[in-house]
Amino acid sequence: MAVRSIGSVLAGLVDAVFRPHRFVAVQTNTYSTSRLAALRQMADLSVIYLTNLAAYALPLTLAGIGVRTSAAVPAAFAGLVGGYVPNPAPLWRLLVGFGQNSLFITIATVVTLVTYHVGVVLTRNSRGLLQSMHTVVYTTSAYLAAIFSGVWFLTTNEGVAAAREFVRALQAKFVYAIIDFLGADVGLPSGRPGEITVSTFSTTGQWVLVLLVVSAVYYFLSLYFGARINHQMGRSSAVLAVLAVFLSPILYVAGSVILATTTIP
Amino acid sequence: MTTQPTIRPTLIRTVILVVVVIALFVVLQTNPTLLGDEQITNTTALVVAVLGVIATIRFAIRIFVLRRIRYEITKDRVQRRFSLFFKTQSRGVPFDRVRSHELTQNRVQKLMGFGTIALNQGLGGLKLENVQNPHEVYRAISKLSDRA
Repeated sequence: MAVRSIGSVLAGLVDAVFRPHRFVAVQTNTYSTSRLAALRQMADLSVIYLTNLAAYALPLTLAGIGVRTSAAVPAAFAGLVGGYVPNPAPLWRLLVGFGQNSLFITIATVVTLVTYHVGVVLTRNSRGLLQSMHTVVYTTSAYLAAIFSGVWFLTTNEGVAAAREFVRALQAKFVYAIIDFLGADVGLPSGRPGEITVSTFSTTGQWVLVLLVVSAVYYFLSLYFGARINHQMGRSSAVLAVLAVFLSPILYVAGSVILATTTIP
Repeated sequence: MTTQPTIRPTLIRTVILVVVVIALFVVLQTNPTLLGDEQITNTTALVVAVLGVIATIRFAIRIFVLRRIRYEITKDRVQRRFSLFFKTQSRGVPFDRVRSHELTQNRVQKLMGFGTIALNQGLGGLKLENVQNPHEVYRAISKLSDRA
């Protein structure tokens, strides 16, 4: 049983790198024949997602990322676990850290699912929400997690300052491009970036940037394969569905800017 | 009748990919400020190289797998056999269970003389890819499934 599990994990890794079309493909010909079956399959996909989320967030949490030593323990939690652990504070901090490390990638997953499925529905090729869920769960579990891991590494490690500043400057430039397009009077706390000047990337920093770009390519490519295989879409429709996801950060930032500048009477 | 899938299209794709990747890599390395900054151009060249290596390995795996596949058409069934390290994986459809059969050839496949034959599509059937002399094979399958 353990050997078969290790074998299937290895096979999954090989598929994720060398055969992304197989990695995201639904393995059954029909995804569900009844509401109960659909709910069961949705639950299965949720378990897969949560398992991969734990695999991503747990190492970060155990490394101390997102764990705040000053976090106060709520009385209710202390009462609940007090009988099992002598000091609930470290456990509470770990749970809060785990929640924080999971939050951003979960939000990104939900945004991907919503924009992807809307894109699929708008092209009138949808074979069902489950097919989109299947595509997005596998795509985000592998490739989005790799992107987030790369960004975390740049944020929390020494020796990659040039790469870190480059990524931050790119993000700030992107946000300000939208702010300027909307003509809004808002800004980031760090202020408007100047011209992006690239100092020498360290070898590690350069390879992390390569990982980020390659993971982003795989992320969009696997969404495309998901649209072609799981929704049986044509090439141009699949590209449109992926474009919806590609444009989602722009919509998110634009929405945030509009919200920040709109005063409700 | 026993036939083996052709590796020609995959081989051609591999060669084209390697040529394009090497060309892009050389262009980026010999023009360090092509993308505005030497660091960015160098990093982009690395990205191209990594994606190129991954794609080449993927095509190499595909060629390796195709070389080990055999399609057998007997009077009772169509069989797809894959052998690797003394282990054989076999999948077949008896002709009396064939409900549909389809030969597809896109423009490139037609030009290169191969095609894909699908049996019982949508019913967990069998797909024979990169079939050489596809019309001959398809005629044999059609005749035998009509007889069954």
